[in-house]
Amino acid sequence: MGYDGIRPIQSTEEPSARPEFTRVDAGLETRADPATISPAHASEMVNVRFEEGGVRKDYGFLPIGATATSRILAITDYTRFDPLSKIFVKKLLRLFRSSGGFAKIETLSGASWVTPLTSSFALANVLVKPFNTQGLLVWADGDRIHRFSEGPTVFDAIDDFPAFPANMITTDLDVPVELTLASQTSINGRWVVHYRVTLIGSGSVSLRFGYFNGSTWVEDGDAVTFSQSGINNITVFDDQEYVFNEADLFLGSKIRYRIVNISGDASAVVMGYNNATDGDPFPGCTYEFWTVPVTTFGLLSNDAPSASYVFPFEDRLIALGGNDNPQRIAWSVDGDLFNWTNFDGGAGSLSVLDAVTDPVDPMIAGGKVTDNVAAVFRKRSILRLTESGNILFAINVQDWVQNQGCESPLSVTQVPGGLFFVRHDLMPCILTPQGVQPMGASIWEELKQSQILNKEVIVAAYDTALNELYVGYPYNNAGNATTFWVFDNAHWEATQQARWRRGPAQMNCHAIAVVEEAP
Amino acid sequence: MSTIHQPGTEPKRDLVFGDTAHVVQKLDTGSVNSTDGYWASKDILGNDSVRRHATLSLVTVWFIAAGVSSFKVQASVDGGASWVDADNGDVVTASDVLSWQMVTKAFFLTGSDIRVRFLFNTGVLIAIHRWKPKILVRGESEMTGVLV
Repeated sequence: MGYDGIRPIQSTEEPSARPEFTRVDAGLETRADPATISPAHASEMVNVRFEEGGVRKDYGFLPIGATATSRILAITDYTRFDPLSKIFVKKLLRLFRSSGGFAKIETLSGASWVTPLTSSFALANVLVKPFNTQGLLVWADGDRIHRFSEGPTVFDAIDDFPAFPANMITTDLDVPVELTLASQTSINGRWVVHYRVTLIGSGSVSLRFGYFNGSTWVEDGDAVTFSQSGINNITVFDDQEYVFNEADLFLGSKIRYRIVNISGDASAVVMGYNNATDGDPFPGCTYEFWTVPVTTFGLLSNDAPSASYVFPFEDRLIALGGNDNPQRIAWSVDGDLFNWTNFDGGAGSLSVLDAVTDPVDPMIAGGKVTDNVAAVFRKRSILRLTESGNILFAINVQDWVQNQGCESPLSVTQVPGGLFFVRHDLMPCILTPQGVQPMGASIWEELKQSQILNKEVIVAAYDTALNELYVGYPYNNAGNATTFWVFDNAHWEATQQARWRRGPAQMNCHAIAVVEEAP
Repeated sequence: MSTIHQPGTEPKRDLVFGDTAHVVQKLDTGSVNSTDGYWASKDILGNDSVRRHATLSLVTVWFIAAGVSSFKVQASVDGGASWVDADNGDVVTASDVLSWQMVTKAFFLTGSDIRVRFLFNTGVLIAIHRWKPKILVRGESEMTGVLV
């Protein structure tokens, strides 16, 4: 028998050909055991990104405009519809804090930040997150709800026809009576001519109205006809109105009426109103016009509650917390963000007192999970908000998740399919209608060991162009986000594998946002 | 002045942030600012409880570059504590090549934990699509058997 049983261990492969990596996009894995993880995974990355199956040097950054005078609290774009030009107007804004603690807003014009507006109230908190809704930019600072808005306002104006007898015509050969718009320089609204017709005898009289827009006369619409049948009758058609179709008029434009036909045995007297001199019941022409856009920066409403965080939901504004009651959820009237006191019209509030895990579990942030479900994050629990359908108590508030919460108000960000947030234990998570789904297991160990104590300065933003989520953590107890982790959401949607990479080191920041095409 | 878009158009979006020097910056996909950046692999031997020594001899890299630049291919045999450049120098890129290029870098490093790193040391955009190390297994042979 001897040593027949001794044989060398079988070699199953050609060792020199063993590793071959066709792609390097496996992702960063800091927690997994190096012995078991795929060798193509990265253990370290700085300033590189995965792209189309490869790694490449990360993108750079371009400064926009000049340096602000103090800490930038938020960057956002502001959108409103302009009724004059029928287009959407968009502006890039930066909100920062002046030396006295007041909020300042600058808008970007070309390559310059201009028009600083200063609030009349000092900010109680620098952690603010503005939302653009219903033509307003709103945010809360712990004490108050602020708003920024811009747009034209409606202004009522009047002008009179000439005083009697110059405002009177009796035959179709008479010279038309004209009124010159003298009150305002910009008119683009509803305008109404007031006049009186006196008809004598059987027959009818037809009038035409027109306007002179600076170059030509325009007859507006069909003739207006008044008639009667009695031969000796005298009928006064008082307080008549003629509403012009939309037209571009301005200072110096003229409005006129003339008789274009008298039929039968009738005779007529037509008089444009002159309220000031003749005492007619209305001015000769009443009209609305839009002012040039006016910027408004101040409190949302004197009736609005104190709040630490606001967000839009179901055409309302939801206000959380506040210095007088950190447990309050309040909501405005549907479609009217200024109205917080019309309780029969849908406004309301409640105090959440039954926190299960902590009797003082303050509300931190909130946002829409889906179109009809919103979430309110407390430090150790999550509440669910839905619209009740009962206007007397319009918002339903229910317990949703216990023992998990959020201490990072600026981390709450809408992403496809849910609401991203950084959990109280630093884990990046997504809240979907099904619940909380952690998605940062591979970087969590490192986060927990990185002395991240200022959880409230954690920031996040979803980059819709690249389908990536940027999450900034304050490593080593910093006062701002110093280390960014970038989540590849496209890869997540395709494979359900969480792929993170280290973000650019130059992004030491206080505020982050995704805005529409910055210049 | 404001930026104006007609209704229905979809402008692209930009990531912006306000940095600690109070400057608003935006992500610029057409440029890089930093002069460093790297990607480092895990241990490519995949050793488990039995440590086996091996020698890294070659690393072949497929890449594409946006301009004249260079990058380093480095290797480590101490778990990433120190990195050694390739024996035949850095990878030099050209400005007029738009297809994937292949280059082979030589090493002679032996260890039980071998890692490979690509070190981008300039501002030019460079993408690495694929890489392949050549490993020579060394170390002791293990014998087993039974006496009957």
